Amino acid sequence: MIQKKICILGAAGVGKTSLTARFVYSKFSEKYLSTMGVKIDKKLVQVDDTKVNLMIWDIHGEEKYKKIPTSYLRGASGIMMVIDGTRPNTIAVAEDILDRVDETLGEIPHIYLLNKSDLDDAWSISESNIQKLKDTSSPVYLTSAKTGDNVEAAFLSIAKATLI
Amino acid sequence: MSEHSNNPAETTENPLHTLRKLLFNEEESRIEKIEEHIENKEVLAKDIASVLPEAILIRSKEDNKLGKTLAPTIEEALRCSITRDPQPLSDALFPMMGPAIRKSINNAISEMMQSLNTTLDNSFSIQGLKWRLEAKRTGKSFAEVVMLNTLLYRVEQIFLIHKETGLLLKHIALDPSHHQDADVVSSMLTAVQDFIQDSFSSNAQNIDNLRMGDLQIMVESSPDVVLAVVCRGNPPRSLQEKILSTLEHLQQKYADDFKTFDGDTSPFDVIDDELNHLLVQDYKPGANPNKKKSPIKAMVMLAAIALLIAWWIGSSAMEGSQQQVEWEKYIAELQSQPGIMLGNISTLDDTTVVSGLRDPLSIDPYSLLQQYKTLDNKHIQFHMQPYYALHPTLVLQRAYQKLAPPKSIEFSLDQNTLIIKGKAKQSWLDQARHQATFIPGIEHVDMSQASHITPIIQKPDVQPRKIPIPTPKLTIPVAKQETPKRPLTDAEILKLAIDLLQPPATIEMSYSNGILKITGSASQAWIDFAEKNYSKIVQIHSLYISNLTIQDI
Repeated sequence: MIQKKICILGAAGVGKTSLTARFVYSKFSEKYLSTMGVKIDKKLVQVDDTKVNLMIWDIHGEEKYKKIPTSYLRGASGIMMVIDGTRPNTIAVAEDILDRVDETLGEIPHIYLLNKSDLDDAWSISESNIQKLKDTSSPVYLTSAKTGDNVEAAFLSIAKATLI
Repeated sequence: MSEHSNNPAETTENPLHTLRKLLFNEEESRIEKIEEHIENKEVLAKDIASVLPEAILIRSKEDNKLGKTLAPTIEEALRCSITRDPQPLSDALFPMMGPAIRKSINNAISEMMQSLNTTLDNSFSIQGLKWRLEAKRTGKSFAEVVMLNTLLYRVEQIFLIHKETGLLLKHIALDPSHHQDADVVSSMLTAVQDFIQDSFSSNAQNIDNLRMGDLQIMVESSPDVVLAVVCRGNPPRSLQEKILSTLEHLQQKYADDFKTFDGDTSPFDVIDDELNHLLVQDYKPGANPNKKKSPIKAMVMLAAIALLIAWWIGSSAMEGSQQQVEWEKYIAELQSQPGIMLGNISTLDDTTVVSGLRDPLSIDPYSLLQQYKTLDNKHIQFHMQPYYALHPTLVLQRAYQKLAPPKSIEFSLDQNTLIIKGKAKQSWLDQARHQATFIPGIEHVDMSQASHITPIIQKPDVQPRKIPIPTPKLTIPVAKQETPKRPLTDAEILKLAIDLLQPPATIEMSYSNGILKITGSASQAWIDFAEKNYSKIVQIHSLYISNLTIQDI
């Protein structure tokens, strides 16, 4: 059995917990989120011939006076960086977090999830911004926790990336 | 034509070839031999076979990959062998199967005795009863109360956690079915540690202990892994030391695997044996249910149960046997009864059905059954068809029933002839002569000993009374008193009548010429009595009661 720790990060309110819930269909340790700032779930996925047990650390959203504890990132094999498609400023927050991740863990696989893709009217991320993210050579997924669009694909992508 | 070749290559190669042969002839032949060894499968197989055992031995000492690689092949080979013919494998296993089964049975019996002992201790002791009350009062299960009262501590789960990632390397539990999310628990434990360290900026390397109610998590940490032991109760200090020494041993043995851990937990599959010894428990003095105790209580209990079973079986068998004897006696007696002919006796479910023929005047099988107390009449049914039996007793009984003779008449039977004796009215005699031959079993009537009487009993002044119809009896009527050798005088006959009938003072009696004359007044009961009994004195042929009146009560 292969186990991998992945962290799902992003600014507050971008939909990290919703994305995890959509993927895992479980609410095992939600009560810990408010007190400790982390909710841990697991999901067994199949990547080619390998079964991978993903331990998903859903870490609280980054805020001005509440930084993500780097201790929670230790040992992570992959990062899912969530950006709110209706709030362009969450891109900057994501980049800031990624810098700290790189400082703490070195370069590890990460992917971008531009969430809330179902909100067409409120969508505020321009194509050029999306292209910039793609230029970082990290995969970019337009996801919707509400409709489930691309959620599974994004998680499978990070699972695959952790095995390389 | 010239002998020299026109081919320039040949002319140039030949000397080279010759030179090469001169220089590398030996090596060339060795290379050929090597090529033959490699390319010829038969030779190659022989070569490998010659070194295979040593190669396996060397590799087995290095790591367990050979075992893992061969396992599927061996499993498949075993499966094929069993499918083809299970006999060779069962023959091979036979010598160890017997001892293994015996050992298993011994263990099972031993465990059963211990379990029975514990149950007896806990159930019938005062302490056991107290615990039962406590369980009822607190709503906990009895087992839980017993455990709380007897247990000092018990290690329930062990987590070996990779320190950096928080991923679970190994999990062992006393009851594996209860702990399916061990990997999430492992991560949460790591998160809790990180959270506390971050929150309090603690320089401490690790949390030693977490306690929640009677549950305690003892944590020891090495450079690469964390060993968390979930314990119920109050473990001794020695347990912490044991955990630490185990962790040190693991860190030393698996240091490389821990450091290169990339999520693959398979190298730690074999670690169970090194952690199992931490699954310990201890009980309060004298309360260890697993401690070997003398099995005397259990043996006494088992012996008592065996005696009860033996008694029950014995008594059932005796009862069954007794019932069988009674049943046979009953059937024999029923069969001997006149008018009963038994046919088939069968059993349907738990009911015995007796079928046959029965004369309506014969004895009722159910009433006879009442005399046999051990037989259960609820489970016996009679299907008897009616018929007329020709048994003399029943023929006579039938004659009495049909002809209703007066008391002065007696019946007897000679073959199929009904003999009528005594005195009766002419009308009855005529009727009897006519009807008797219609009675089954009677073909002739002999009335040579019967005579008619003149009815002089009259009661003109009183209301007509019903004369009771004599009840037919199986037995012959009571014999009359012996006739004396000399004729009695009228006075002697009167005295006999007075002695017999005991008339009240209001009655006067006189006798002459075979007629007993009664005058005065008397109760109806006495008059009935007199009418019934006067004929017992043979000299009295008639009763004269015309002047007799009934006394009002």
